[in-house]
Amino acid sequence: MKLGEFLTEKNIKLNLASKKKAGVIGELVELLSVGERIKSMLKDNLLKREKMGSTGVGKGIAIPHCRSVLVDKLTVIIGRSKRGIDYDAQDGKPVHLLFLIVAPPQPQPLEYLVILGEIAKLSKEIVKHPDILKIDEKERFLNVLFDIERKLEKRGK
Amino acid sequence: MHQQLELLIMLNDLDILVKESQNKNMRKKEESYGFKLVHHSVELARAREEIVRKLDKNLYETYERLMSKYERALAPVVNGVCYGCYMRLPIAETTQQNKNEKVSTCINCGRFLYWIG
Ligand SMILES: [Zn+2]
Repeated sequence: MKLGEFLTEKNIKLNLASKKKAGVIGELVELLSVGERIKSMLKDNLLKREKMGSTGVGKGIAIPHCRSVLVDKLTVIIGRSKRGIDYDAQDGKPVHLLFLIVAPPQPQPLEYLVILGEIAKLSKEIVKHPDILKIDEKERFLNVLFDIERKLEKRGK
Repeated sequence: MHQQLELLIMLNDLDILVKESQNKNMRKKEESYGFKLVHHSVELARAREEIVRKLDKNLYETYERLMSKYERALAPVVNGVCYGCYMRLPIAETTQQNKNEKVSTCINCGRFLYWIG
């Protein structure tokens, strides 16, 4: 996977305003290019997924995700909060970085699961780069992210 | 969007979410990524009841019948093709306006349709 295929500056919000899970997921869904009603249904979906178990995987990272017939392509949105979000994470710590994924039901779950896995792997690497929490320019933020991804790929080969 | 179609979409997305979380392979995959999943959520069961209560009875029966037959009861239509059975839908249907303002089904596979774009 190449994150660059899914991420542009339009998919990033570096200064999330909300301090709570529902508010933050709403802010991220706002960045999707779909109608208002669809946004609200997707938000509802993502919050339902949270009822199955918090997607706050620990160490300040959360990966809210869902699949829905309402979208026709996989989209990744990144959000960051310097202050931290009360997210009911597995380790109880506030969340600072979120990767939101919405995907269509087709093609089969495979693509979606692969990307979910890649982002989970990437997020484990990101926590070793705390500077990412300080960057204020989207472009630089993305470049650091892509750098981490490249290093991860090199190591995998 | 038609209110009943909205309910069908919410119901289907919810059912798939729960079904997949109970699927051993999917579950293992998600857990290997660091996610933890509960086995049953009372809140989601309640949310489902709430949707079904608002849904037309006949539509719900059709929905259940489709779910016993297929993985999903609802298919998106992309560029005039039903993504449930991959058949091209008739021009008379694809050229209609406001296609999501009513509940429609695929003439080939019978799945409910959500028109994208
Ligand atoms: Zn069909």
